[in-house]
Amino acid sequence: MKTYSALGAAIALAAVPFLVGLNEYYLFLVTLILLYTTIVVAWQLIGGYGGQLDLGAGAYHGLGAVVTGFLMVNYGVSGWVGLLVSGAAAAGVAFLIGYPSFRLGLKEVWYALSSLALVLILQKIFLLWTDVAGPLERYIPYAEFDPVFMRAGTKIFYYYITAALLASTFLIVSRIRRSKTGLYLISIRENEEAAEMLGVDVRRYKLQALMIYSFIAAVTGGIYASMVGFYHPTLFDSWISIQTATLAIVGGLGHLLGPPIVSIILLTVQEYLRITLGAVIIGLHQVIFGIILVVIIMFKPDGLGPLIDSLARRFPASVRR
Amino acid sequence: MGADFGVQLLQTILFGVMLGGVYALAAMGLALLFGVANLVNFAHGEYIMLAMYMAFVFSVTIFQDPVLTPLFNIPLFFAIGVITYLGIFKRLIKAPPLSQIAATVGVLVLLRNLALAIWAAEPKAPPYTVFATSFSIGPIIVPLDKLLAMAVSFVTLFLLNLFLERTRLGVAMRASADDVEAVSLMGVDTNRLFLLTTGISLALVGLSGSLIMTYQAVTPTSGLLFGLLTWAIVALAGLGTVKGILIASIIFGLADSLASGLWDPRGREIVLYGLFILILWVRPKGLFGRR
Amino acid sequence: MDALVLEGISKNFGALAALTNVNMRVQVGEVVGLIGPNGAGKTTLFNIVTGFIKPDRGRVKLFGEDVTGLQPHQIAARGVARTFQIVKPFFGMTVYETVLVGAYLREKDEDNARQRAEVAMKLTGVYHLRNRYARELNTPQLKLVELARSLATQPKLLMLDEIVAGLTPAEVDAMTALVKRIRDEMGVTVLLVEHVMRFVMNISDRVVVLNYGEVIAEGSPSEVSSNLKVIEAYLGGKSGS
Repeated sequence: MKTYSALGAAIALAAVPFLVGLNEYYLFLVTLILLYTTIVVAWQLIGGYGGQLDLGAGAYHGLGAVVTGFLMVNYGVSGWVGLLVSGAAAAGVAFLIGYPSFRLGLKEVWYALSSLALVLILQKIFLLWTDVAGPLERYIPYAEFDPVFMRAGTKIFYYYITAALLASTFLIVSRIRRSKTGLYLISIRENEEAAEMLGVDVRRYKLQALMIYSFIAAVTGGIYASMVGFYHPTLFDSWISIQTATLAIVGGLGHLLGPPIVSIILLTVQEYLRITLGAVIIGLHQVIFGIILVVIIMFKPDGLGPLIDSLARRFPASVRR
Repeated sequence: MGADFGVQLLQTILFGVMLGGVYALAAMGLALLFGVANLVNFAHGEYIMLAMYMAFVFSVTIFQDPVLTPLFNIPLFFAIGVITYLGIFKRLIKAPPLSQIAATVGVLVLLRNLALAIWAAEPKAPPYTVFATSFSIGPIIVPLDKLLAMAVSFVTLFLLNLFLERTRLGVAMRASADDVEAVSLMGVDTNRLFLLTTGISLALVGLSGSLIMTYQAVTPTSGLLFGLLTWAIVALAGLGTVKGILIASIIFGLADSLASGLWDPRGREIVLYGLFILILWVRPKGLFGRR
Repeated sequence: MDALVLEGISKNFGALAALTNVNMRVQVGEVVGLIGPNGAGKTTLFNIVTGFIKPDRGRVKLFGEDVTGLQPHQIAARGVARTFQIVKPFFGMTVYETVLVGAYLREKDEDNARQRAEVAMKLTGVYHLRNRYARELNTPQLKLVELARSLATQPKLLMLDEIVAGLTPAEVDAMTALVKRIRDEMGVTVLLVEHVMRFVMNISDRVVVLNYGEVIAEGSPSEVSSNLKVIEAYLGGKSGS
């Protein structure tokens, strides 16, 4: 049963470019949506299972874009290598901020605030950096189709990379969910003290979750930079952090199917609103985002996860848990 | 050469202290809400931003001079506080902190983009004030409008302190900061208490919006800065006393001013947020408070 | 070798002296009951042994090893399991998953862990609840689940913090029988904190009395309960519950 639905999803993902008629603009949008959805799925590790409301996605995504772009432009390094390096860099930064935070038991609001501050600190640092280090080439050299360098003129190249990333991230997260690590993380979320007393090294597991998620978030940033052929400190965007957390919460903290489904739907809606209304009223699509978040939290604090799970169970052939 | 730098340093320090005094009012609103009602308001900075915009609107449309805008801002934001409490906060009081953060993040997004939609991205500052003069103490220049703003802030904090210590409502609020259950067991209507606390919290925000306008212009992204700043002040001060908030605010005001003046205005946020994180790691219990 | 040794343990919270120069020994295989009025320092002592609090002075030795200052998860790895005065369930997990978390401490293999969890659940009588979510259960059931969770870690020292608080006399007797069974079948040493005298006196080999952070008496249950009258006179009537 599980293989059928997985196969179905894989086919659907592979078919999307053709469904949008290979239109470059739509391919770009869809790739973007899948990139952000990937971050949401990875976020479940620290937010859904680990129970820490992390608002650092913007920092890791931005780091991925800037480091990958920098390496591609200034050193001619292949984008693939760039992804790995920027992923490692992001994991490193995550460790630097996570280790003291978790050691000290920074809870809830303070951890959320410090991770948000991280995004802004990095943004300002990189903005100042260009003064100090001289003009940074910010445009990645164009190539019609260079898979080794990881650069292509047509967006379909990036679409399939992203689809593969999303699929693997989903698989990784679902494997972790069923493993000892996943159960440990959830026990941490449910009651840290009780978990500690059962031998769970709380700090270590939170750090693990944080580093995996930050690595993946950075990879999405690297792909983004290569796709648009451009990187800039404004990619350290607090909105990405907020969007990620919002979608994950609305999708259902700790649920597997809810977040990616909600993410794809809401992001599509957001793009649609941006296209139709965005020019008229700037930021309206985000206002609606805000309203949705407030309403969902007030009336369905567990998010839509449970609902989606029960819907999934109605179709026995497509149940994946 | 050295004397010049000395003068510039003193000027910067003076500015920092005045700025801190004004920040204190903004932070006090947050401390009240968090301390008394145990509510995490992630959108506090956005309310400050909104208050600044309203001060701008009032000064442009009605008064021409921002000095009278508190007359409108204070009652307006008290009302906004009441509405926010009845509409949203009331439900959140009993919810876990994660839900409170998530919901108030929603409010954050809403307010920020509302501001963007209405006023666009360019900074807004009030056009003119009758107090735009300054006087000198030796080589130090003291701008009158900023000094006045600081004075208003100090007076308000002093009155607030009296309120918290002498009035029944104020004492109830302080007691609630210690132990909410005990307070309700003593017959205090916590619902009404929290309603008034939210109103007062936002009234303080309304006033501080007017005051901060004498120091800086406002953009839709100002909310994030003020949000992190006021939370940082609360982290440093703890939730104990008005005095603690004031001292913590002045420390941050000094950091802000010294970073902008001696280093680079763009480095100011790095210093402020870096200081915040450092405080969280080094003194998670705050310097003066009990939380 | 003693299961647990406390040497000169002292702890202050600000001006409050929670524990003052506490010396205590628990031999392997014993059941020791710790009693005393509220605020005597019993839970503080538990928290120090399990690593949640660090003592100001003194040493904690577990099976001969000095574990003072270690983190709770490190102490758990050395064979200590503990239930909490106010139960700390994993609301979002099923009973099975909850107990499995405990089993994972010792069993690296998935199947072995599951077996271990099932044994613990059957022993405490919650096996029939294994697929229910913790948030659906009542307090007595949650206490048993918490016990199962602790047992799944295969502890050498089991610490029970007021495990029969709030239970009916019949439930207390059932718990007494269960703890006896656990001690006999699993060979664990037991240290328990309790207010319910019926439970403590029935199950303990030895009783230690704590008051205002100091050990004021210890001995067999009968010795202490006759001494108890002296203590009550000293304390001016019945204190605690």
